[in-house]
Amino acid sequence: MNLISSEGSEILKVSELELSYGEHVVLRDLSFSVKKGECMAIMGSSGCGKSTLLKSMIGLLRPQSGEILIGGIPLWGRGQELNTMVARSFGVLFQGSALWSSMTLLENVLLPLETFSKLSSRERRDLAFYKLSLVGLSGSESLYPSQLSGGMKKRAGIARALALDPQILFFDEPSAGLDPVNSQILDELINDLKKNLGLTFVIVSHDIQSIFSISDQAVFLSSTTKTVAEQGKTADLLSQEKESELSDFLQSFRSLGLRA
Amino acid sequence: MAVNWSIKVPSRSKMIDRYDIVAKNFYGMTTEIAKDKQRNLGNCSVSLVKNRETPCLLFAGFWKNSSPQKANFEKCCSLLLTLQECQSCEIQLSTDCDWDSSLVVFLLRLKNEMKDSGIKLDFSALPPKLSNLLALSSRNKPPVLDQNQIPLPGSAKIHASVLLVFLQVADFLGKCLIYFCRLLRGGSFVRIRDFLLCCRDCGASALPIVTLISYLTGLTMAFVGSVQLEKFNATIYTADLVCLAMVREMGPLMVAIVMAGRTGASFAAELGSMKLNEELDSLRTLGIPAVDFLVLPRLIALVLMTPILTLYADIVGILGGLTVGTQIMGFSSLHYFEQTQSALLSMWEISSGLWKSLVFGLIVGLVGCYKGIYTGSSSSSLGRAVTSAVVVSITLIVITDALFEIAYSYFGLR
Repeated sequence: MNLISSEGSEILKVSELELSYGEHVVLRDLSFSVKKGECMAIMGSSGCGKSTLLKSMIGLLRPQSGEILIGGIPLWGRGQELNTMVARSFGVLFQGSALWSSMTLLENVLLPLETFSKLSSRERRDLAFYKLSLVGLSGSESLYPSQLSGGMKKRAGIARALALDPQILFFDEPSAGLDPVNSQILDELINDLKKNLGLTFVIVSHDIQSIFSISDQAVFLSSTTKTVAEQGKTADLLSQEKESELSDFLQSFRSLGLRA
Repeated sequence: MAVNWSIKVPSRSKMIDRYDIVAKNFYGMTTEIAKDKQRNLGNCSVSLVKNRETPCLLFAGFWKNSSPQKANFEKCCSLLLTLQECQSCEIQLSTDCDWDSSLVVFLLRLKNEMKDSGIKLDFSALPPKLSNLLALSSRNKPPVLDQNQIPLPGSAKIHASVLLVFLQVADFLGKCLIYFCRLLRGGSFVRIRDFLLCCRDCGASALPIVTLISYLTGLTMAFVGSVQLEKFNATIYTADLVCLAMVREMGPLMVAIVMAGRTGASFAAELGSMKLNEELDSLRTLGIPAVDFLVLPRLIALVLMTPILTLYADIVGILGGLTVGTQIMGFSSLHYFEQTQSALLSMWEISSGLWKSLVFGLIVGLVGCYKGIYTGSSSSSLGRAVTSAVVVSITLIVITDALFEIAYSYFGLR
């Protein structure tokens, strides 16, 4: 499915989002937007609500109030039920890849196509082969997830997320569990896809290195106020010197880097 | 001269109307649709232009997965094959062409099909995004699986897998024995806390279900027996029947089957998910054998608890018979108990059942733990492991029970 929106328009808009688990407030009055073709990174120290925000953006967790618009249409409908049509317009790469372990890679990519497209079986197969080859996994179509390395699992996860030609791709900690070399290779792949597919990316991560190399916009969530503390171009945010929660966060990363 | 061939949508206006409906349903928006109407939605075309130095294949229109009309691939190929004398053909995209991965797949297929035909396809005139995607998807990695492996013939495969299972079972049983001996000698990794927890899980926690099942078993047997014995005017022998059947046969068997479904399955699921989460591997790297640390406490707890539960089940079953005897047949409780006592000639009647249940407990524990530890690495194999743990233990229990009875009667113990 493709959402009708032109280059540069807001494809994802989160406004005044409130979310809490019982008494415990996780997100408060949170708003930001992502333009089409951008790569937005959501960062913050652990416990600041990154994962909760992602879960509510991909339709796993219903916010108490506020709105999430994808291509101008609310993800959560008037009766607060999930709009599945909109939900199908984005792909998600989960932290542990979440491939279905009883299926081969080809079947993993084919399943969404079989369920949600009206293509012929030949076209579906061709598409699935193509998506796997895009992420550099051609030749491994008949392997099972248990036979893959961590990096390959992530790639296969991306291929599956791309299956339905989504407009937005959400990544949950893409570099988690990968060594620096594999993490860099994955970043390059994401950059390739960004450049050539014209997709919008939303990446939740705390890996500064990876955020710096792939994203052009960034949002920093504060763990004290539970909302957006800083927002802007990634390069500006990461180079800022003035005293703030973000600079503390960056400082701790720099000191770790020096020690290493 | 331009030879034009294109796929025409039967009725353009009809197609646009159809898209209108779809679009409204999808997005509930109408403003953008006017723009799309101008773009000839649904019409994709391929045309061969021959009036130049190199012929050119021109793609135009709406090339999307969601488009209702698809280009005919075979027709396109046969069109290209008419160009034998030219050797080369340029691929171009018209400026208004709207495309997604369906066009890329079409081009890849075309490239593949034309590889051996002698016609060189020139993709250089395509927009950079599209040619990049083609390049990205063409960088083939060699398959990971080793192609040089010599495949085994079918029968050898079966032999090999049977041998493998046999070796695995032998390995597991051997390890259990070795680590049990080490436990007796001291210096084992078994934690007393784990053992006590397992005892509670497979002993005390099973009391309600064992009570229900054995009480109802005793009750049913009393009913069935009384109907038959009434014909001989010997209803008081219902007490003999219930108590002998319970202590010799039904008590151990019922408890073993409950244990297989309850505890054996939970052992397999628990150890299997530990294997999937690499918890077993982490134990191994620390030098702690999984059999010692995880299997032994469970096994010993189950072997000890099953006879105790069986004894309990025997008593509850006799009480089930007593209920029928006093409430339906009108005997006094004392009369019924005296009859029960006279039926049990010696302690052997009871202990023969308890020896059986000891072995049943061992079977359930061994099968459950074995299936858990040797589960595969996918979530479906975990499901299979649990199922087969229950099925295999119940089968083995029934077989062992029969063997016990044969042995008892052979040695004159009945």
